[in-house]
Amino acid sequence: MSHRILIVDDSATARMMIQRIFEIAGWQDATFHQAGNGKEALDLLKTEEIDLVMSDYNMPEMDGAQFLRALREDAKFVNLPVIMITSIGNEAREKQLMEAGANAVLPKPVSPPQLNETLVSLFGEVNGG
Amino acid sequence: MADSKQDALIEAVDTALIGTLENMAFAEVVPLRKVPDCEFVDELNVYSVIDLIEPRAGRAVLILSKQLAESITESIYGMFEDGELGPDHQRDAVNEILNTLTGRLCVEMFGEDTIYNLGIPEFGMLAEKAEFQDPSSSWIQIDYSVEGWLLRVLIDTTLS
Repeated sequence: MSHRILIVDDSATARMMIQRIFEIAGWQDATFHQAGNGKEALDLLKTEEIDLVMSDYNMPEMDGAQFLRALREDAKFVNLPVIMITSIGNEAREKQLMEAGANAVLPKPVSPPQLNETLVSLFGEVNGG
Repeated sequence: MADSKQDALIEAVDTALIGTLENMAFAEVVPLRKVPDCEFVDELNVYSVIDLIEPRAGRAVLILSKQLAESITESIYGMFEDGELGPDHQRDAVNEILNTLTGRLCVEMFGEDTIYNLGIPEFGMLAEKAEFQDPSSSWIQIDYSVEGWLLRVLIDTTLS
């Protein structure tokens, strides 16, 4: 079964780039869902089974940290893998997001090798299809 | 602002802009102060602005021509997607570049240990923003040639 991935970013450009980077990294058979902010993502998670969330930090309505906290407060999503991506990524931010429950934090723009390395560390496999 | 601080800020903008545009759009960036005889089209029509919220207030602005915005958007989307590109794609792509650029700039300026936060980028027509057409002395203006087009970065000096 292919992985079901939820990409959360207010920028359509970023969502499109992230999906293609997944595909370049060997996850071309995954099923992709998209949301424009944390609220939309939480709504989508009520109806869709998701195996991995890739979320931006800096978003209107509900930012990535608020989304992450809301997600981890729901017992159903305590173990759902979440990769946070951020343009404001330094060690201090990474520490903050990891403490809030992220499984990994990547700086923008994400590169395919960087993503692949993170996915291997989370899933122990190269191809997510 | 002291010259050394201003020089450090300008170098940080160079590094952030070159890294961002090369990674996202494969675009060649030439700092005009380093290559004064560089030829470029001197036209500026659109802007994107983003606020720095913490650790202190500041603003960063990207100003460019519609044609360069279109070219950068085509480079980004051309790698990934078929189909027609419109103004929404351009606005989104330019905002995303400024967001990424400013994030990189903050890492350059504030280092790894400081938490910083940015606002949401806003895109608009330069003709509607007098403050960006004729910036006051509190702004630092840095000009680049990107693929032969002028691209201007304005930084509120409180950033440094």
